[in-house]
Amino acid sequence: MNKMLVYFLLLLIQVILSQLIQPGPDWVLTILPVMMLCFPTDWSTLRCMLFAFFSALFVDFFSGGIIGLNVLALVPVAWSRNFFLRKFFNDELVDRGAALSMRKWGFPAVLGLIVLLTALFLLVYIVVDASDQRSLLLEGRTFLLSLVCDTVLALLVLPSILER
Amino acid sequence: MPSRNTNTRQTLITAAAFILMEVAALVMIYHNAELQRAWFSRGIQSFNATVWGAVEEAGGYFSLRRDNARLAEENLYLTRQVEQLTARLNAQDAPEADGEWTYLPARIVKHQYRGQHNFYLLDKGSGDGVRLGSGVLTARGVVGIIDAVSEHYSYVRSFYNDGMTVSARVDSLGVVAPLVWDGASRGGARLKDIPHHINIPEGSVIRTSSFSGIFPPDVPLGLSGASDKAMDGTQTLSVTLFEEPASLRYVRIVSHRHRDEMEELAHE
Repeated sequence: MNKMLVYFLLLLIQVILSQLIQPGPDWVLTILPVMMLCFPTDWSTLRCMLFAFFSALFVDFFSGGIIGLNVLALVPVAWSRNFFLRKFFNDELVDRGAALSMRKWGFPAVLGLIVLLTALFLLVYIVVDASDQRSLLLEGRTFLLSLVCDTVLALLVLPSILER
Repeated sequence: MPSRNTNTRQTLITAAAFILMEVAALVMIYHNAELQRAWFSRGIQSFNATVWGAVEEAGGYFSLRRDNARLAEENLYLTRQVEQLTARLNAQDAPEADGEWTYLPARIVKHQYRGQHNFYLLDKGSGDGVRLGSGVLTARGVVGIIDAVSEHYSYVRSFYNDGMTVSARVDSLGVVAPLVWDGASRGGARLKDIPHHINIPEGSVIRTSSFSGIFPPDVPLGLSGASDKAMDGTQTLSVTLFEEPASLRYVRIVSHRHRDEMEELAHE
């Protein structure tokens, strides 16, 4: 299936998840960071950021949350995506636009990338969402809980994103 | 292969786009969430305070020279004000013998007090009512006598000149004698022709006498010192003057209201 089609489907799933599950202050439910891997690896950072910006804005509008919060958290993920791809895999992957596959690069590297992108998203999201109203301990707990849940969720949707 | 310039340009464009998108997100959050707006406002205020505080501090440091110059000017202005007011105050406090004396404050614009012929130039002249032969003094002693007058300036022959005599009186005893410069030191004078038998204790205050038509009586001049007895039956007393000529800036020109009448009568 076309990766961009998968991307838009995941975007709808994200909106539905946000509306149905209504995450409380203790955890953040998101698959937006892992969705950044749907973009072809040879896409420029600017292009990734533009897609991330409008996608996150779409989610913000239809999920009933704070408008701009997902944008604020997802754009840095898109900005750093190519950098992490080069660091976790190699330059050739980005330069040649090779496909990202679990079999070729191994589960640990892919998992590490997902955890890092998700952690970056959650860090911005949770800090701005709390707005200095919650203790550092509570924010840390929310972060860890969300990171575990979102990583599991990302692993569930990962087969549709990666090359078989 | 993209050139280095192209890469740099792309990096800059990407960075600018990133900043733009993040700022847009912040603006959206600011306008849509009360809690976040309050948090951002606190952050912005704190940032502004820090930045402007640093800017003010740095600006203050770099403007120190200008501030110093301005303060020096202000200081000079205030010093002049104080001197002028002090001069006026002194003029008001000066002894006025039955209202017979008139005083005119003046500023020294030029002076010489190093040689044997010392003088001052004052900023008041005939246009201000200064007359030839008027006395010049301060609250601490006699300065000299007006020797020449133009419309705007007066030439004062200093007390520190050969042949300059002031009629003086020993305060405690009432003995009157001519006071002259000792011709050598600044602040040193001699009280001449005092009868041999009068014993004047050291430290007695010497004042102007009432026998002068130039200076008002009882202006303090100095303190008496050792006496030197002469063969002609008189003694000469050394006097340490109160006024320090080098530090003079402002003086008063004094003249007797009825001097013309007194001189006319004396000539007759």
